[in-house]
Amino acid sequence: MKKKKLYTMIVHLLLCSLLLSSCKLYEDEYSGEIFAMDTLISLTVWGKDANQAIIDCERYLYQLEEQFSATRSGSEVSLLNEIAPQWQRLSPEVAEVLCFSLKMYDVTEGAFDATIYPLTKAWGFTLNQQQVPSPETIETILPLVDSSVVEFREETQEARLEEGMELDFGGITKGYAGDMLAEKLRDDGYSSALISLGGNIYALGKKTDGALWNIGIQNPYGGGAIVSVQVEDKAVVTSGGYQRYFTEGEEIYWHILNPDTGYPAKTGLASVTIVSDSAMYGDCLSTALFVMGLDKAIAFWQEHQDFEVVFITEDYEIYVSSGLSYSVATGYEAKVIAP
Amino acid sequence: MREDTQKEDGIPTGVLVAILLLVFLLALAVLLLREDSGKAQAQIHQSGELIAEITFPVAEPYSIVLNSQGRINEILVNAEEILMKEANCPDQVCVLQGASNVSPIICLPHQIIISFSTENQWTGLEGGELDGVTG
Repeated sequence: MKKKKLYTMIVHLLLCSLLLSSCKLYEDEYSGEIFAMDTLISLTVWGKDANQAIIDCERYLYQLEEQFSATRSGSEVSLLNEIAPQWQRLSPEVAEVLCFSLKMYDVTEGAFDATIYPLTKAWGFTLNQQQVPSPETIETILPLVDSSVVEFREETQEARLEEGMELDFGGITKGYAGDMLAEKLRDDGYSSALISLGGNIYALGKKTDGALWNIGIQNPYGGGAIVSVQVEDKAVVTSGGYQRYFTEGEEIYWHILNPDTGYPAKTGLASVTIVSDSAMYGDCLSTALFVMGLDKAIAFWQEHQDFEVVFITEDYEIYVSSGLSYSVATGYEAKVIAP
Repeated sequence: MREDTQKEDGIPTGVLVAILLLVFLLALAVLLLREDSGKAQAQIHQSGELIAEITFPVAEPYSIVLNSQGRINEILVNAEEILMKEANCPDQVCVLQGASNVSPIICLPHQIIISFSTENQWTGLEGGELDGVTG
């Protein structure tokens, strides 16, 4: 009897040993990193054959880059820009993004405007040759920045810009790609993945241990994360002036431009982070709310409330929308925005 | 029947338990070694190739100069952080980013990624380890 107990204990110990030594192997975690869409894209997927899923996602990203790049000659978007004011037939992907961007132009009352490309070029942000354009140049370009005159025929999937106008989906394509990759992975049966497109994150499902994803928000002044949010099946997208800027004299000029003035949007905000179901929606909103400034952006959230938001001001103040108040963590004082 | 008992009695119980405990501890050690040892590490990749691996803290600050067909980057490794000191890339985004030991430092034109294996660790604030960082 004593021996039987001993052997039972031995078997249990051996089983424990086997489980302990192999549990990590069965998680099937695969990661991949690629340079595409002018940024670093990281994918981590948990599940069987996830390495193949990552390869498929990478292929898809290159395909999107071919379609959407405004700087790549021959891409669908650059062709649309070049042949204006003629009509051009669009692929379903470009048509979807164009329609969404036009809708967001209306919803944000022009704070998000995909026709901002001539301005971005004048500031040199597209080709990394930053410069401060003359006021005359900006005045000349401003009439070309107006999504309200972009025409789209739904029945034939054709679009047309006015002469001189140019589209740039840089502020929306990464979000679109995040949504598409998440959908692709979900359809393939994966329930746990982290997609990071240049810092725009889509957290698919939950972690393999059932916990929520804990996503940090970069401190705009350096030194790592300043806030974290716990999410499941959400996109977490940040826009901040610190992400791309240049200095001339004492002045800092960043890449987020106000479509109304033609100058960098300086509204007292250092960054805006959107937590939403759709990364494309989050991508547009993070830019638009940054352009609006704190007060208008808070009013926008209060009116819509189909997303959550974290504002970090240039004075180091942190504001979080009430829906995040239980899932946010920070070592700093955060003010909760009431609905 | 008697023979079986003899076989069972062949290995003293104490030795058997000791061996099995050893196996158990070894498995535990394997698991713990596979986990992050807690020491922060940085990896520098250029065009997908691993150039250097750094374990923090480093005793003395030092520089790593990468020169790939005229694409020059000078990386400064401090005690517990890394920064891109100089680069002849057109946008200077990597230089302007400043020092980091959390978020990756990226020089897109020169295809350099400096990533941190403790990227997901977040000390000093509440909320536990991070799975990713946006911004």
